[in-house]
Amino acid sequence: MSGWVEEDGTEYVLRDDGNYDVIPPKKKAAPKKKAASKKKAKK
Amino acid sequence: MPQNRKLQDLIDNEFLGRFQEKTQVFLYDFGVLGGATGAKTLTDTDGNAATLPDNAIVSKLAIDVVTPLASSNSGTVALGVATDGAANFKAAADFDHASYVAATQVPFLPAVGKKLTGDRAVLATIANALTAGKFYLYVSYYEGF
Repeated sequence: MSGWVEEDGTEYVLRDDGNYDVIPPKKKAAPKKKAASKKKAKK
Repeated sequence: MPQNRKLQDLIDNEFLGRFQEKTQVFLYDFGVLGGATGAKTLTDTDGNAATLPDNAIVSKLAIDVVTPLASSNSGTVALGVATDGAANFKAAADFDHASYVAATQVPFLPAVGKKLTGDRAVLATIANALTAGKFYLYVSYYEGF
């Protein structure tokens, strides 16, 4: 397999006919939000 | 003595060689390459494989549309080279964008001015498929070191 990956993550894969398949970048899963601290302020 | 030899004697060969801007012409022909989504490797005007040389610094481009691009699905086309950037010449634009219409296209500068890092095929990256079209892409460049 021959080809390259563009800076944006798009992958170009060489086909037998000399042209390329273009594979869009995979979307990264959104990072999980950290649970907000629920420490109660001491009175 | 042939005329071109006389000319070479009159003008130092360096001025006819690497310091002159060069132009190569590449062809996209829907009838040969098709219009399915993907990156098409453009050919020379005879339909043979062609590349820009290693170290080339592209200075300007022009598109000569001889058959209007068509699409039934909002097709787009980007222009560039293999490996060094498939949209370095021109970011994706609609098939009927002014730059792809014979009456309105104007020569343009490359979108990304990157010196080539090897012999590179010229690509037209199609999204959403074309159903017709033929154009010549004139690529002017300096040879670079």
